[in-house]
Amino acid sequence: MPVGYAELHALSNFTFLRGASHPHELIEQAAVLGYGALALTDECSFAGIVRAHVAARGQSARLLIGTELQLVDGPKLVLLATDRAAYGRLCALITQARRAAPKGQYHLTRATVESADLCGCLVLWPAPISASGSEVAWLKERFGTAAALAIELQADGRDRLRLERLSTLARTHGLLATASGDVHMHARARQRLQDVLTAIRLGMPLEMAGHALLPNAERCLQDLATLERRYPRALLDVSVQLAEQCAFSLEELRYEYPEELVPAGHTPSTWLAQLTQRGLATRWPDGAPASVLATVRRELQLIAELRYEPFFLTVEDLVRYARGRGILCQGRGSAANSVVCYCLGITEVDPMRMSLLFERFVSKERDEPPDIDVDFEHERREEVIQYLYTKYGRHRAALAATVISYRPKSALRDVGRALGIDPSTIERLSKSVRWWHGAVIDTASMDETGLDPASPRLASLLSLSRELLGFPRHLSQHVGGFVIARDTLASLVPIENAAMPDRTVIQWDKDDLEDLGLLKVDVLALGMLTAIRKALALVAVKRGQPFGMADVPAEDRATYDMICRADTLGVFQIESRAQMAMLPRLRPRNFYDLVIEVAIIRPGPIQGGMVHPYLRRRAGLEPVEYPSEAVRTVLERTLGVPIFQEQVMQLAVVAAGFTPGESDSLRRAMAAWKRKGGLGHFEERLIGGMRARGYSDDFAQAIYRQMLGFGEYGFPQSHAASFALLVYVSAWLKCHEPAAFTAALLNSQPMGFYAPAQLVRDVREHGVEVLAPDVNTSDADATLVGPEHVQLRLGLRGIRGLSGATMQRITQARRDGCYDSVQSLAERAALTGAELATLAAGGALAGLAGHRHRAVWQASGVVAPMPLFPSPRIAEGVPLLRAPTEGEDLVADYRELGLTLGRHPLALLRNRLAARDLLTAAELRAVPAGQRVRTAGLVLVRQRPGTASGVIFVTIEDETGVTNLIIWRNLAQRYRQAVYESRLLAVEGVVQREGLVLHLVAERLVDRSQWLGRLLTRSRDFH
Amino acid sequence: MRARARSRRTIGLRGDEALTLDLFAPLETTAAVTARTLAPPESRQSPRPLPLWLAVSFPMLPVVALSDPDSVQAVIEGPPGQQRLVALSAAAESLGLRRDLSRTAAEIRVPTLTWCERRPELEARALEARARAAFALTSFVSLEPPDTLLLEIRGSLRLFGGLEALIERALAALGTARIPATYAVAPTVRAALWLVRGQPGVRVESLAALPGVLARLPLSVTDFDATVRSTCERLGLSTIGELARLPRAGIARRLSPAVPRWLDEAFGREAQPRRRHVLAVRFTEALALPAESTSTVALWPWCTRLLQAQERFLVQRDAAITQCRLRLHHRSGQPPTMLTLERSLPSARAQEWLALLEERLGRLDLCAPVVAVALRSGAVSPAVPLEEGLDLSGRDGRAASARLLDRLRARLGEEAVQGMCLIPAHCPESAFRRVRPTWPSAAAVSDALPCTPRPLWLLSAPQALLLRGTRPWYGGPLQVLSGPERIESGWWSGQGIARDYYIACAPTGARLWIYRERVATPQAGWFLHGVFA
Repeated sequence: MPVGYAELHALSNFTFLRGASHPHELIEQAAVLGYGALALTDECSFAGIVRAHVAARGQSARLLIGTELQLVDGPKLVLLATDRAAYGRLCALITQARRAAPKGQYHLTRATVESADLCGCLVLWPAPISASGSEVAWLKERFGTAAALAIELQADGRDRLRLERLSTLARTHGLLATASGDVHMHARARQRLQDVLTAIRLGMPLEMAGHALLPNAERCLQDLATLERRYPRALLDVSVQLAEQCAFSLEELRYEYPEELVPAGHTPSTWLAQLTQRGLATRWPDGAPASVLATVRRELQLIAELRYEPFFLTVEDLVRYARGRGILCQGRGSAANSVVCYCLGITEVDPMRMSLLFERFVSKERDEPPDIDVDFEHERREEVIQYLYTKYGRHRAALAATVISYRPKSALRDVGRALGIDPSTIERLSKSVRWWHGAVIDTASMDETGLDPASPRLASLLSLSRELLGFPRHLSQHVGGFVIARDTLASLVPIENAAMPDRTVIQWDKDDLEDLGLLKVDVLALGMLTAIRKALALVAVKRGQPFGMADVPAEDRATYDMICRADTLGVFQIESRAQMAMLPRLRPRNFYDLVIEVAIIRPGPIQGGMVHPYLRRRAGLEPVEYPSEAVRTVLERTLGVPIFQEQVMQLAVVAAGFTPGESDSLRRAMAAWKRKGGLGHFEERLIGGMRARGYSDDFAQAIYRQMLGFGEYGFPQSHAASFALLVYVSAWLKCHEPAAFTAALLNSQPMGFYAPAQLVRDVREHGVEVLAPDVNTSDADATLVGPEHVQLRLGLRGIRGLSGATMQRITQARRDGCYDSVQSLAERAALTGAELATLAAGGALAGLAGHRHRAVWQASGVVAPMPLFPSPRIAEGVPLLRAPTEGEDLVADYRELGLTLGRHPLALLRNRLAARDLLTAAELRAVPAGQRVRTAGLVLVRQRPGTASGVIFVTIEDETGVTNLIIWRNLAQRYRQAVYESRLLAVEGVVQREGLVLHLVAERLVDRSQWLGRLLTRSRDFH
Repeated sequence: MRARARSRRTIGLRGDEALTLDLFAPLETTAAVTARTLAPPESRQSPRPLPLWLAVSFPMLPVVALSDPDSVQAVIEGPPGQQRLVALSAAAESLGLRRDLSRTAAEIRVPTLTWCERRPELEARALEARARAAFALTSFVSLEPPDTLLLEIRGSLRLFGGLEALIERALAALGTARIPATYAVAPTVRAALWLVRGQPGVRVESLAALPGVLARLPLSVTDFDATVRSTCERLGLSTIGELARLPRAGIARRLSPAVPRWLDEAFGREAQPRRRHVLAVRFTEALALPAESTSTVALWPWCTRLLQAQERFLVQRDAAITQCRLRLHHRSGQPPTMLTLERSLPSARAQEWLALLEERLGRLDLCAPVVAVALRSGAVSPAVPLEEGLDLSGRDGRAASARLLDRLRARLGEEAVQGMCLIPAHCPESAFRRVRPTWPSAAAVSDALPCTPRPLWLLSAPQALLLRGTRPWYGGPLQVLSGPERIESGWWSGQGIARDYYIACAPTGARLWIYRERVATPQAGWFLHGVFA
């Protein structure tokens, strides 16, 4: 009989900075070596088990689940789960230990283990050579026959002694003894990386790490021959016997939805049907059309078959709560654009109005939970999260984790430190790792650094960093992925403390949940929802009647006209440079055009080369052709160009012969290809499948390329539709209620691409009068004033350095009448000298004290009143302070408010600019395409879209408007300093026109920032 | 100064110029101990003459102070993410970089920029070295860290032939030809400091001329903190003159009570006390022998005198030393003989140093007759109180052991007496290091000990073992007692090992530490690496 072995004690890299192999490497190697089983026993963690579980599917080695625990006052134990109940108990124990310590640590005592219910768990004690009888006795007494002594031999020179002593110890106490490996890596070759991890953990270079390093590479998965030489056969046999006792698999975990959402007398099905009926009546007061009713029936039937009702009810409950509190929210995701979701109020996009098809709605074939992300106003999402915690309790609701992994820069930094390479060299090296190299460390770019990649130390650095890439580093919290359990979450997955106080996080990330078929609700934050809600409220006051999103008229012509002019500063999504450049070409005339616009200007479609074909076909410059009728049905809506994620998947089905289930695996592979490197066997199947069905090689290759592009960035149509609705609503508001829209944007800062200065400037160009902040008239927020509510009064919140409480005191004390002097303001609003000075500098005291310098003098001289005494009056005159010049006021405006209502800074420099033949933005608009011109402006935004092969978009602004620059990569490198640093940039370039949009393709750049003196403008840089 | 003067006086007997010049290399900055006293400018007669301050600023000091200044272009300072350039090499400046640029911005301009973090302790030393040179011009030198020196020069004007000549001499003495510096002259300290920043090169000799010059300076040259400066900016004030015009009480209340006081100090309306820099102390003295001496015995009384003088010097300062150097000067043409005496514990006592000297002189062959002896003390440290007692195991036992060690080293030579320090490392070769012997020994570190036995005698290089069949042979077949202990480590140093160690018994009964290479190399096979006692 061949020797058998099961490894019962193995750590993966989810035991951070100790384990030197990925979970899948361990299980795969165990199978290769012919092990019967491998127990993943990460230290106080189950974070790696799902990955191991996925990797173990179809492998000959079985995966066992366990954990290694170091008791603070006792031995180190390895606990293994034999069944589902024992697994739940281990989850609870890990949770208890993790919750008792700060993030990333755990705390466990003998007493805790003694009192914990560990029924069904196997307990191994990897005993040291000095093990004493008292510890064995404790183990025996506490765990009885579930306990075993693990003998771990690692060729440290004392193997024989250890074996003898421990065997005797086990025998005398009647305890089972087994072999185990204390595995830290799947193969010997990982020893170097393991050493480096140790050095990183200790925060010292390898030279200093000394005995903390492993003396040899024996803690790898050993081949059976070595094990047989090292251990008596009986010990190996025991490991197999123990492994056989562990019958638990993660497949057994079944998610059970919360129960309390269904009132008595209802089943989830009947309750969901009832809620949907109610919704139908609200959405279609005059009765829904037959087609809608048929769709609803079909959807409800499918939901019932898959028993997904509680999921829809959970989301509905969340949305109902938010709506009750006046929090604007909107769902998106594969299941979100069903009629059921529209009826439940989860989405506002009327699916019928857009004649959308919902191919990616939950499918029976893929037994995968539906996916609904809900966006909430960014300022109020926390309320929703707190509601979830209150409703379900912290023991049932928790945020999913995000596994933070090593990226090129962090890997280089940490490995470099361990190798003792000086920080400046590492920095230089890590600078050369540009973001567009993705997750790969590229030696080619090292030439720029002047470092020699062949030197042994650097070679070690590079190869070890490459190995370290993708290693998990720590768990962080997901932005909003919530898991809710029916009973106790802690018996499903361990929960640990997050960095934020009062936050907890489960040990699994989104992908893990999905891999196990568990359900999560995404509670996300979106700034534009905040702005829209605030704008709608202002409109309602102005119009004197309630005004909601539903009251925004559909398909408004003026709004689309505005969008086609690319007059979209501040509008959701389509305010970026790339979007603005596309609008006049795409000319969206209806809602579906907006959906396409949102989806097409994304890195995925751009990388896949879909944009230009679509534009040409839309403009009628190129015929719309389909290689087959089947493809036509998929791509007809988008003129033969795949734009949405689901179209790519459908293509795989109709053109390459995938089943829908396979096509869904393809979708997941697409999302992960960058992480895992390539689409693997899908590539072959896809291209081969298309060829076999008579499609040309070109077509097949093009589709494959597009899939790669989609990977991380592709939009499903349902997402695009939800976003497009916000695009439309925000565009309508900008078009018809510019003052309210801008006030709302200002009151929701920080958000969006543009700073308040540009928003204010833009709204003034649209004819809205904007008034400066003033202590006697401004609220904290920007408000609409004047008889018609058409003037915009800036809020005090725009003044830098003013706290919310201060603003509240100012507005509250003002209710008894206006302030008549700085002194009375100080007394009535109880302001300190510093607060007054801030107000003075912000120009908000102009009405009380005159010009800025005088206002500051008066404000800073006020003495804070003391509680029991009348405020001291200090007799002093105001000295003769020079009034600020226009330039000085401008500088102060920018410094204190970030914007000015005075003349544009460039207006002050115009003579100097004109003398150098630098045109204004307005003059530029009259220049024909192809002509060489010079202009200059303040740099507003620098953008380097991830897709545009290194091109940099810079927007500059002068007193007449903005100009968009295109700077090619080579040029940007030549003029690095001017491109990245100038605040005032002078450009020489060639005019390029696309419809109404003008670009200047830069050829020469000069940094003229020194002309600005002390003017503080900061651009917003997005890389 | 005093020591030097005395050495001139006592040595000039033969009129030998080589001897009257510096007997010692320039003071080492590393060993300096600085004492500072608070003192006003020197006053000779009343009314006190108006002081005149020369401020010299070395903006490149952070670079120059580095041990290898040519290897970096910029020195940075600040928390990660907010690092700014504080100083630049000339090469970096020619690339268009300037001070105060953020590191990110600098690297946009010069992607290959080499930088290092600021080292304030090196800068302090470098500034002090410059202060020492400044004493050639005036007895009142004051440090304004990080990079400025203040010299009170009123009293030196005549000696050096006027202001221009003095400035020229000062700049030369301070080495400004190599290290760029800026300077300014003003009758008050604060004005000099502001002017060196705001209007370098300016010379203001009278108080009357000061207001006009200062008024034009921008407020950025002042030492006012950020809050004061930003309030000034908000008040529309940009120069010192504009600030000085405002009502005194008003600015005290609005900015800071310190502001009017500083203005007063700058304009000379109020005196500003200044710390005088005091040079480090070191004992140096030389004695010319009345006649040439060819025997070391004849040197003994002179050396005794010097060591006793040193003891008095040190005791007065409550100080002690661990090292001193004796120079025996020969007739011209012969390089002097140097004797360096070292002790493990600091001491000032001539008796103890003489005991060491005795060992050295006893073994010394003079290469030429001696004409003069000079003594120079090493770095000075605070004295350790001496306790005499009978308890040999305690403090005195320690002292006695240290004395023994010192004597052994003095007698056998520095190299012959070695200490051993254990290093926690898996590779046997790197698990220890020879060190200067100390008492108590540095070796007693428990966590540096491996948990398996190691031989006391480790061969300096492993010795290949013969094989008979497959068994290693060393005067007979070796019998393995225990093992293997597998050691695979040290790869990062380029000298990684992969060996299986065994303890084996030789036919003679000796216990040997042997190993087998795990990597197939030409030397693969069995090796003897150590012998157990």
